[in-house]
Amino acid sequence: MASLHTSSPIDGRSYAGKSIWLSPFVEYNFTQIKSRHLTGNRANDALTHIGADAAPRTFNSKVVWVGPDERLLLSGELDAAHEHYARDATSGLIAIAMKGASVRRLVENETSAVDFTPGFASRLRFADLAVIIIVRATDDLLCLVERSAATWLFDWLENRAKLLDL
Amino acid sequence: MTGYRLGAGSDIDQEQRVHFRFNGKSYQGFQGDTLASALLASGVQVFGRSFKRHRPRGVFAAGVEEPGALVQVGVGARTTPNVRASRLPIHEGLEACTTSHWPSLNLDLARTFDVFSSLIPAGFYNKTFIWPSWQFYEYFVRHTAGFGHAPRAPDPDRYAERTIDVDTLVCGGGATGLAAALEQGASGASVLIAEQDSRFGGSLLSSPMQIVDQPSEQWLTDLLDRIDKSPNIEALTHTSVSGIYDHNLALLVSHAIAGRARETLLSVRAEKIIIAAGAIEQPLVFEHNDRPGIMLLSAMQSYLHRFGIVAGKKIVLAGNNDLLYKAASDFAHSGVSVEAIVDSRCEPSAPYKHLGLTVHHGCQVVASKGGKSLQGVTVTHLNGGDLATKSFDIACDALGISGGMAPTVHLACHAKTPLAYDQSIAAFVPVVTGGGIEVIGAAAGNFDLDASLELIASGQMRTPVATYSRGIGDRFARAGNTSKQWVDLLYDVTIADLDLAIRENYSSVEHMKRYTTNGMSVDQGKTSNLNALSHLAEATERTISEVGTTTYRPPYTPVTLGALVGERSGRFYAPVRELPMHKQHLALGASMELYGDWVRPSTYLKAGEDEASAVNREALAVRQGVGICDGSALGKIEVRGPDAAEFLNFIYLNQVPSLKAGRCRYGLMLNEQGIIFDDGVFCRLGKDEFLVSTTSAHATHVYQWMEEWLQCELVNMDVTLMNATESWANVTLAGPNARALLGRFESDIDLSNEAFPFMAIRTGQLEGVPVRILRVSFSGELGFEVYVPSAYGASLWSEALARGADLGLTPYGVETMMVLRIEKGFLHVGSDTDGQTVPRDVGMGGIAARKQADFIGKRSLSLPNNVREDRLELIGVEPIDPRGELIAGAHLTARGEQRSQGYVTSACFSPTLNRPIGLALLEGGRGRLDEEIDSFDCGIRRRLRVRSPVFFDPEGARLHG
Repeated sequence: MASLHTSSPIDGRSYAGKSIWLSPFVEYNFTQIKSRHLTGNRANDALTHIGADAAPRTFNSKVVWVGPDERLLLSGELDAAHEHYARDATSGLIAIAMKGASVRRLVENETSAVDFTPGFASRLRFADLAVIIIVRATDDLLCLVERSAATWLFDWLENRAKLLDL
Repeated sequence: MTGYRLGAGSDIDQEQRVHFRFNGKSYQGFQGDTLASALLASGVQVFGRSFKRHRPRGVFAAGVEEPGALVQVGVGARTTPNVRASRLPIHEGLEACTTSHWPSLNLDLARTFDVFSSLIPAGFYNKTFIWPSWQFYEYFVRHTAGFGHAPRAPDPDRYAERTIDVDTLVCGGGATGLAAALEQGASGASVLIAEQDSRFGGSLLSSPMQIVDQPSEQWLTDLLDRIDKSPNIEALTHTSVSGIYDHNLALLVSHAIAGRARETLLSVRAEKIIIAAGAIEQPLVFEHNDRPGIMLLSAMQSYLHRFGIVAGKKIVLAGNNDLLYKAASDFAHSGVSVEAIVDSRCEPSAPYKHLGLTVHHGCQVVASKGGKSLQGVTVTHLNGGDLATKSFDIACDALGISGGMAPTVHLACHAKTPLAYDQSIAAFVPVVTGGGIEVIGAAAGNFDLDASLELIASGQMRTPVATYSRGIGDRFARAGNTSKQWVDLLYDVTIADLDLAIRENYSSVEHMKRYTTNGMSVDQGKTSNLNALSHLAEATERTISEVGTTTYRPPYTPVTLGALVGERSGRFYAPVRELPMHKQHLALGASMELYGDWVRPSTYLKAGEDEASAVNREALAVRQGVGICDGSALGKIEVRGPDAAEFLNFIYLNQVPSLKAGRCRYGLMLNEQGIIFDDGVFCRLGKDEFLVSTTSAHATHVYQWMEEWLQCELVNMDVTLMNATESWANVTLAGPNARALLGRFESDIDLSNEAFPFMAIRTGQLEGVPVRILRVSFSGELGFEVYVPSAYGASLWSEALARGADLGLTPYGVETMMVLRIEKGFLHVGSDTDGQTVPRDVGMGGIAARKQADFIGKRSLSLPNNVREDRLELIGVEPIDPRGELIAGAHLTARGEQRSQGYVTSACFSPTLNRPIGLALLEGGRGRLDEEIDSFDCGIRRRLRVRSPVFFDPEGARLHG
């Protein structure tokens, strides 16, 4: 019998404008880590175990700071001792790559909450959705959105890029 | 008025001719012309008809304050009503027409309303159209009233939005606004300056002058060049500030930002907002002051300097302030002669004697003469303030009037800045009290430009109010027929109407406004409010300060719905969530509907089916074979930690700690008032691990609600919450063959009834991927909810369809799901519960009573109102006549009685039972089984019988099979 295979709602989607390109990004697996402000914060133990954390509103090669009590681990693994506050979020999050000289204009048109310094990362309100924006370079952003809204958001980005003639 | 083009104007390019049509006739103008200027140059005098009395209207102003020359622009889906001709740039092929007249602009039969105007004073419609009924008159009134018409087809144009954070927003691109923008930019601030006109310059464009020893044109060019070179200043023309809101949020509408958008809505948040909105000239009030040919003085200057147009061949200027002489000097400089100046003040104005003007001091225009165009004015001497009898006529075809300038206070008022009446300028000025709002220049009542600029350069934004050098006179002619003295030109409000309102005791400014409709028209009273307040004060023997003003609210000028909507229409109205198997549903021909945020299949229509027949087919397929449903929208919250059981025991009505690992339990969530707000199944995966399911509509809300309790109240509990709704796809198999189908997948889970009983959860692998399977049922049949990571959902769905074909596997949608659950009497929170439903109402009072531990809402359940015997209780209902109708929402009464005793909450046709059935909330319902009652809906009574809510398989044999 055939095995099951994966699929994404934005498989095969891409947009090439004059100075902006949109496409799916599949290089990361995501592990969500939640923590509580308890004595001996065990989530911090997990991050210590990995050997990395990220300062507020930043990301590095391993960790994305999403909120005071939440991190996203990029493609890392946690052992069973830390599974109480970690779960595989890969299926639930879809990453859209936004590249090009006009990426900043597209994003700034909608929100002023993004700092385009490479290394910035934050959850924020964008196109009426809660998304996580990661600034890999000034002209290279990732937008992480819940799976169910990925098609809509991709359509929205493409529509907005066309409207602004990007 | 017979306007003509004298020569060049600063706005127009006489090398480029533009052809357009107005009222079906062809005209031409120059690039840069507005419709008003191009038509004035062509000798057009009548530009429209007034609202009530259908009197002819000419061009009165040159800006947004224009009250008469309103046109319909464009055709078809792009047609736009009520566009000011004074603000409409002409372009090749423009189509514009006037409205609100019949059969034509020049011959409007509705002018008879003017003949009988004494029968239609202010507020007449509150006293008429009563007999026999309003509806008798409605058709006629609707077709007579209003300006213009809305398009009847969807708007094909696109509208953009932009969000901007700046340090300083400058509203207005006149001299003081530009200077302020430059000063702020020089300090390092990020600045946005917005000007509604097509060019920067404000009043300098209409009335050039010397500024700092240089011509204003040169001064302006230099300033704009410096702004252009400033990297931190963004300067936008064609951009109006529509409104200022709390916390220094401003909404701007721009017609000029590059791209494919027709208009752009800018949401601007600024640390500081500088209002440099200038001032608007106010008219004089005299008999027939609405005649075409009468124009604001500033408008005459604007048409002359910007478009090279002279308003008439014989021009008279009338007013009460020094602007008369500046204008006369401008006209003389351009070679335009002025017949006379009529100045209501008594002192001669020395600086302009060299112009050789005929000036009638201490005189007022008391009436205009002519028909559809001006032919002369009647002037009367004022003798020491009293009206004298000596009057004389002056022949003219253009009259420029000036009642003084009134600061444009609207934006300041949006920002809650109070106003104070300044006698020296006879107008209101803003009293700035901080909060990041500054008002400068003419908008602050300072009409001395040099003084304003000096203060801006010195960093002093707050400017003192300066007066006219020789004061300001009266605006009102105090003689003549007051029913022919207009205050509001657009809505035909006269002095007589104001007096009528006062006689009828509508003497507060708010009542006067609404009773007479003064200031309520498209121009929002920009040239009428002040005069109305002034007259109201005098007539009621109060000061103008005591009368006060009405409230100025956004928008400052009309904003199209398109700009407000932006791209938020159609697909982009709001985010839409798609199921993991969305494409598969479309491929199967599903009829997709929006359920909350989610687009889900309602049914899967086959050829020749309507929704009802599709639902019947799907429901029977589930009952007789096996159905497949996408339940991925259900909320899934993972609750982990040593205190997870205790936490959930507090959250739920039901007992949690007693639940064994691998088992599930149905639970209700109550709010603190004991009201049911969500339900679902919670499962124990391990000692410290639970999976909570919520309704799809409440997934996010329940997650946030649980987090709030955890973080704010239960702070010492060691619990982690994670919203996993998006991470898992749910393929639900329901029906007698569900186990057989599931068994066709390779898995390490024992699916036998002994190993996997009803209300249990198993985890493992299915076809090599992680799986969670819940044996639960919302259909009342043997059911399995199969959860795999969302990325595998589509594949699992397709495999199930392929492997279940010989079992009669049938996809079923939400509508079928609702029919199946109604047959079983399963609760649907929000349909079968309302804002007062507590657990005992749905038969779960015993659970609450037996639970010792504290839980949310526990205390409220013992309140007297929540234990009354006559509370609405959930029961089943069915029509006595099996072919009868059952209407969800219908009231329930005892047989033949009037008092409502409850209502039908859910209703459907049951294909299983072949009759309509439903659920209902009925007073004391559980004690009234088999009673005959009535439903009452839209005047129709239907006979029903009270039943148990479980219509099908009450023993649950199918669930436990």
